[in-house]
Amino acid sequence: MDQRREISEHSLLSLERQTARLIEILKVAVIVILTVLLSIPVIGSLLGVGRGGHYTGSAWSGAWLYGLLAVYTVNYWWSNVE
Amino acid sequence: MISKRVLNTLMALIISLALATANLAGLYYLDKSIGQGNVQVIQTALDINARNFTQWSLGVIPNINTVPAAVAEQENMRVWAQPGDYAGPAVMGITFAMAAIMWFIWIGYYLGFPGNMVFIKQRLLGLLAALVLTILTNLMFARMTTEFTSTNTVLGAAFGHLSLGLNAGGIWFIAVLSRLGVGQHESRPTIPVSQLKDEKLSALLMSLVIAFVFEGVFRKANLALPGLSIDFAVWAVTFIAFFNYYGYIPSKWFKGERPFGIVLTVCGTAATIIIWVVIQHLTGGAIGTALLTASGSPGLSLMLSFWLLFWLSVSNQSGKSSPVRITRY
Repeated sequence: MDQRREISEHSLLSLERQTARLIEILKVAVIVILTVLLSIPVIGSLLGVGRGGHYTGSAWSGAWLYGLLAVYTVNYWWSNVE
Repeated sequence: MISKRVLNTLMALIISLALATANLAGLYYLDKSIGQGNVQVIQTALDINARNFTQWSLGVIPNINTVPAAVAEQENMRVWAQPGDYAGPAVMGITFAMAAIMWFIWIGYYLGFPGNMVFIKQRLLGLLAALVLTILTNLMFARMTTEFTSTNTVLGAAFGHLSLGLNAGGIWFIAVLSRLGVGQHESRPTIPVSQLKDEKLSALLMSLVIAFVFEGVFRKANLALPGLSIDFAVWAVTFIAFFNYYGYIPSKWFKGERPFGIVLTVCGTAATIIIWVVIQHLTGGAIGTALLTASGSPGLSLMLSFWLLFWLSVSNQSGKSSPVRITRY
């Protein structure tokens, strides 16, 4: 026999909305996590300037490049290319 | 018959490379003016409590003396720069790449040279603002390094080579200024989050993962410079730029003008690296790339990532990243 479950129109709509909301929250959460992950080396490089010897250790040029990474990331995120 | 688009790209390429050469030549002259065996030290004076304090003009420009390195070490002076701290001639293939990317973005992307130079006045003003801001910011970083750390070699510790800080700052500022609308740059329209393609999140994560793997492999194979630990960031920027221009899904890489663009990027990078190795050979290593040296090729990681990014920018600017065929005009 066909044991199909009937779902009302209302609960389907409600499920769809809940899923969409959850996806939005997940997206924001991933962005926040990415930001935190990326800021670890940036903050580390800022705190560590001058701790190494000549040409070793982290430096401001590294901080600039993490800044560039952020710029390219944001640019990619908000671009609408194919 | 060479198309106008190709001609424009070539013009932008030549002019930006010439400007990058001037940029690096100026810094190389600064390096040479120190003289072998000498260092530049920051001038200090005694205050009324007989303590040394550093003298700065405008808060960021140090008063500099050139003294023999032995004297500086004996007197325990703060060294502003050693020969090579400005342009980094030993790895100029790498520092030049950063300058080349900056000038191509300034001239080709921001100014629209030579094809689309509307808003020229505002954009020249934007370039001037970026120039002043990047120089001031980098000098401020150098002063912060002097004040807040115990390093004895200021520029070397702050930037590796000053050229890297200056040109990376230049790209950063022009990107931010053009985003803020300086020069009325018609930046890409922002789209609501609900319309974002889900693959972008995946692409961003994957670019970080791939960059991490590349960095690890190059470092394990002794193909990364031990001092300049910026490989990860440059590889990540390069991959994000690639996904932005050519798409994340591999099937998109074969659409329209894109196969030619990818071939152009790869061949341009290979040709550039060959030219730099030839330059290194001809100058006996005085101007080098840290490739094929006695201690291996530690510069390969940065040479590849930087020049791939440069040629990616060129292929994008020349329209070769378009997913539809562009008809000649």
